[in-house]
Amino acid sequence: MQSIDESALFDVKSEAQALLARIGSVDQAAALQALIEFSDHRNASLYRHVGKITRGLHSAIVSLDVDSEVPGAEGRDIQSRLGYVIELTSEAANKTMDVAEEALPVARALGEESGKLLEEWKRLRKRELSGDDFRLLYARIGDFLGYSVQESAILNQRLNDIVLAQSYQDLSGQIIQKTMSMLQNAESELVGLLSVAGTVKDGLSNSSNMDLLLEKEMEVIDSIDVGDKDLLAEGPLPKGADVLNDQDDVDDLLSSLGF
Amino acid sequence: MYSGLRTEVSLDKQMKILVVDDFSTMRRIIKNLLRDLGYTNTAEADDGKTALPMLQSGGFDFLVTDWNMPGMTGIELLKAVRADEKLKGLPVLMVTAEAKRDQIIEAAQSGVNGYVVKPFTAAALKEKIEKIFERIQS
Repeated sequence: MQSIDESALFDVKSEAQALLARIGSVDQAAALQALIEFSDHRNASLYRHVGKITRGLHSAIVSLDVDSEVPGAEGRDIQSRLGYVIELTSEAANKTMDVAEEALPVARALGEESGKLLEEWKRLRKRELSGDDFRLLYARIGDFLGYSVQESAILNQRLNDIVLAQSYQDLSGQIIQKTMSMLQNAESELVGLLSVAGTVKDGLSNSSNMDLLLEKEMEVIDSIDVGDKDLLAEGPLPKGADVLNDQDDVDDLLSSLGF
Repeated sequence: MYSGLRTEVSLDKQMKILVVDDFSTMRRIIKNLLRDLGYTNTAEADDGKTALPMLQSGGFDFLVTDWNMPGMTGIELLKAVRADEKLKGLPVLMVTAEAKRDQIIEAAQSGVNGYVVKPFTAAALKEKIEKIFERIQS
C-alpha cells in the first residue's frame, strides 16, 4: 500500500486530548505551545493537500496541451486542433466542388458530341447520307475518338482528385479522437480532484482515508503520461506545430539519413 | 468488349498488397489510387493486430500501413515484420499523418522503405511506390 508520511500520522483525537489537558492545567505557556503545535499539524496537512490538488490541476492542464511552458506545444492544444478540423473539412468540400465543377462541362460536352454523332450514324444506317456527308462523318468520328480519349483521361483525373479529397475524413477523425482522449484525461483528473476536495469540505478529517484518496488520485494522474512522448502518435497537427511541413521536408530528412 | 484496347499488364501489377489503416475511408482511397496505378490485387486490415497474422499466412508482396491505429500501431507492425524471419524482407510503405522529426527517424531506423505524409497527392504515392520497386528490382 501507499506510504504515509509523518504528518499523516497526526492523531487528531490524542492531540486534542493533550491540548485539553494542558488548557485545564495552570501552565499557560505549555497550553499555548500545544495549541500552536495542534494548528501547525492541521496546517501542514492542509498545505500538503493543497499542493497535491495544485499538482493535479497542472496535470489536467498539461493533458490539454495548453501549457505554454512546454516547448513546441504551440498549435497542439484542443482549440488549434479543432480549428485544423474546420480548415480540413472546408478545404475538402471546396476542393470536391471545384473538381466537380471542372468535370461537369467535360462530361456534358462528351455527351452532346456523342449525341450528335449518333444522329449522323443513324442517318448513315438508313443510307440517308450523301458521299460528302459520309466523308464528313468519317472525319468527325476520327476526331471524336481522339477527343474522347483525351477528355475521359481528364474525367478520370478529376474523379481521382475527388476520391483523394475524402482523406479529410481520416485526418479530422484522428484529430477528434485525439482531442476526445485529451478531454477524457483532463476530465478524469478533475473528477478525481473533485472527490478529494469534497472530502476536505465535508470535514472528514481522517488523515489516512484522505491520503488513500489522494494517493489513488495521484496514481491516476501519474498513469497518464506514459512512454516517450515524442514517439507517441499525435495525429495530424496544424502547420506551425513542431512538425515537418510537407512531403518535401520528409524526403529531405530521409535523404539526410542516407535514404 | 474493349479488352483489345487494354495495354499490356506487367507481372508486377499482379503483386498482392495489404493496406492497413483504421479509417475505412482511407483504405478505400489508397485502394482506389492503387487500382488507378494498375495494382488491383489488394486486401485490407484495420490495425497491426489484424494485419500481422494475415501477413504471416503468406502471399503478400507489399505492405502499406498507417501509423496511428488502436490495438497495434503501424510502427509496432513494422518492427514485428522486420523481426519475423519470413517477413523481414517485405517492402513497407508508411502512409501517415505523423510528421514529427523523431517519428520519421524512428520509422527509418526501424527499416521502413518509404514514408508518405497525409494529406498526400496521387503523384507522391505513385512516386514512392515506384521508387521502392525500382530499388527492389535493382
